[in-house]
Amino acid sequence: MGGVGVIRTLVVWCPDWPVVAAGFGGEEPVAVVAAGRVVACSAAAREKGVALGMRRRAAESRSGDLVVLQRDDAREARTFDPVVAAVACLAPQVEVTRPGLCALATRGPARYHGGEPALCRAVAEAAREAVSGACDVAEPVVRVGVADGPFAAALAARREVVVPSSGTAVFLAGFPVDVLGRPDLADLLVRLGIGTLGAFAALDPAMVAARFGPDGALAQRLARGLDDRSLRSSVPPVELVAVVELDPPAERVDTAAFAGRTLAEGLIAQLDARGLSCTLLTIEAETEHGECLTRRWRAEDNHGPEAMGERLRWQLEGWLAGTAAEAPSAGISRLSFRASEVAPAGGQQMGFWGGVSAADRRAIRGLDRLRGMLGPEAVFTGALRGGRGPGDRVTLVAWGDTRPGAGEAGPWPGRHPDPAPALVHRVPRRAEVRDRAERPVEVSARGRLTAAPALVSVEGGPEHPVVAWAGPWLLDERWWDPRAGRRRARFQLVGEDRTAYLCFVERNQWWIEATYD
Amino acid sequence: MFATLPRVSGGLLSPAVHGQGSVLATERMLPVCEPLASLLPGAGLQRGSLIGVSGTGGVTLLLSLLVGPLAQGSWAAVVGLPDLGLEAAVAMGIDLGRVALVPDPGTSWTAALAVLLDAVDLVVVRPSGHCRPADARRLAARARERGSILVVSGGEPTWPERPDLELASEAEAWEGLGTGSGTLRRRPARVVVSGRRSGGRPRTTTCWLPGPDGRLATQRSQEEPTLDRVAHAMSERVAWAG
Repeated sequence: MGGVGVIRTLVVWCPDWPVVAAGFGGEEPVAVVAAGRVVACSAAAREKGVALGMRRRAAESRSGDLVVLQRDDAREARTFDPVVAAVACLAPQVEVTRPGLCALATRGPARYHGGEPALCRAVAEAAREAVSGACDVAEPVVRVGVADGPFAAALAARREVVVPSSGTAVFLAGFPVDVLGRPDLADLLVRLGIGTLGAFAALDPAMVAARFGPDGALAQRLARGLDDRSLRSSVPPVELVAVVELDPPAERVDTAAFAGRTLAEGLIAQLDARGLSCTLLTIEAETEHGECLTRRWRAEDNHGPEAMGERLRWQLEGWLAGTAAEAPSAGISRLSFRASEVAPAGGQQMGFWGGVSAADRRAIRGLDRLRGMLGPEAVFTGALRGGRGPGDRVTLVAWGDTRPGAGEAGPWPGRHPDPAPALVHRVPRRAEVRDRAERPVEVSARGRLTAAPALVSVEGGPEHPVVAWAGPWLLDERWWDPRAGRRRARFQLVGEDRTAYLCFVERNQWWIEATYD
Repeated sequence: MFATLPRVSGGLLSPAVHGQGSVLATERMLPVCEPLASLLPGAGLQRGSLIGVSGTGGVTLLLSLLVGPLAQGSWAAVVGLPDLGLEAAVAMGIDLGRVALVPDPGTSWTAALAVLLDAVDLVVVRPSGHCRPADARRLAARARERGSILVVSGGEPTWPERPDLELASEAEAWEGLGTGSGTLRRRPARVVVSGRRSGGRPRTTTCWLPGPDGRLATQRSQEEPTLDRVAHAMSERVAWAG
């Protein structure tokens, strides 16, 4: 038997879906490109040497008669929806992973249809019929496989086999490590001489966790055939749902999809409040005539609210613009996002829906690049911490290092008053402060001024009359430590040029530590 | 998990690739907080534009420009401002976790700007030297293409390209500080917005730059009672004396 909590899963895979969705079979050389790179190609194109990730020019040079299409997500989603609907007729609770790939738990349906092989045949037949209807392709390729857990089942679908419950680990052992979908990990494993899932699975799990972290440990569990997603994620204890009423009802995709962001943010706020992330999203729509449409989307990738909105758009394409049998008879009046399965946010689940946004990912990638360009000590983020001086209260954290937690917010008696200065000099600037008789102003040990400040000059610059000032505020920090201890008297000064300074006197030398710009 | 299959990238497709029509006008604007919003055409900062910020109180003005976009999930980067007062930034409501700081970008600072315009929505720079006109044009084109905003801080050395929008602050004297008493509390200032995108003539507002809580605030016509201000000044004095 497989591991505890492993779900027997059937995966329906339509290879080269972007090509099929455009209405092409496997015998014509077709490539689908996005941003100038090949994202899918037909079997005929593959035979001529076209490969995924190739530049458009390079692909065209391999095959003279290559048909190049721009990617159209909406079409892919629209044409896949009838396939999902056809599969859902045989087995409810179909989860769409992405257009071209969906999965279902076999336990109930297999018993009903008389075993897993029979279920496979029925599903493949229904899916094939739906594909040829939706895409106008004569003999579409649809592959169906069953194994323990969706990871192994997807590989089983490639080979069109039903892997027995006890044989998942043996089945997986022969696959190369790139099938894990973690290019960095796979690259490293190959360089370590571990080329197959079997070799990876044979490593000591504790050592893998220590060396590769939680994500590496999860990858190894997949390799061992222990895709126990149900243990990691669960049905939420309370109903987590975001609802939007559309008035007037939306009949077009773009008007309805506009609600996606609101829904996503509403759901994510609820998830965040409980420290959860969504691993299975149910999108529900209700029409004016009371028709109810439901689809479940599996979150396998790292997605933000944009991705949720995109799923909704795809879904709506299928319902409103498509030719699906269940096309609604009226406009959509109510949309909802429901978290059907959740997992604790953080740890190995970090970055699922409710985690990192597209803007975050773009920034993180770009800043990593900049650090590579300028060096490790050039890019920082700031963090607050406790302290009394403006320079003490912030710290710079090199990009890539762990940011400290919330600083010591608690009272710091003697700290400079609000508002905080807009410019804090990294190195205090030396200043001369004199009284009306042009004698340097000094502060006694007891905090008494020799005279009122009347003139200020910064770093040998021109002297300005002082129009307002206050102080001294005495600061005697770490007096118990002869080296770190310091005694300072702080002042605020405003010169005639309206520049306001935060300064201090230490050993009868005036310093400007910050400027209120 | 399906390594060899084409992967659908979530949310990263540009609208053109996505094939879903035009980007909404509101998505091309980054929101700013009041009272700047009422001063700016479209109540925000236009993506892809070049913005100049200068004048006394310019750093405070600069920080208050970042507040709105950062609250909406944008990231920002500040290049060549090693003295930036981060505590003042936090007091304004800026999440420092989304602000990349490049205090000393070195000689390749224009290259750093190009990378940052790809990465974040708002890039603030105080030029550490003169920028070549060709570099400035290249950066402006990059900002337009990526929908990010380049904010040039400080008047000197001048930026070769004319900004789409120029914000200049003229700060007046600080309030709250006497001779030997009180503390700096707030500062009235005039903010003038001009430039190609301001719709003709310059627009002006008077505001607190900053107000007593460190934020940019609208000046109200009625003043607080004098007694309140005295009490406030005294409480601050006590707090500081600790």
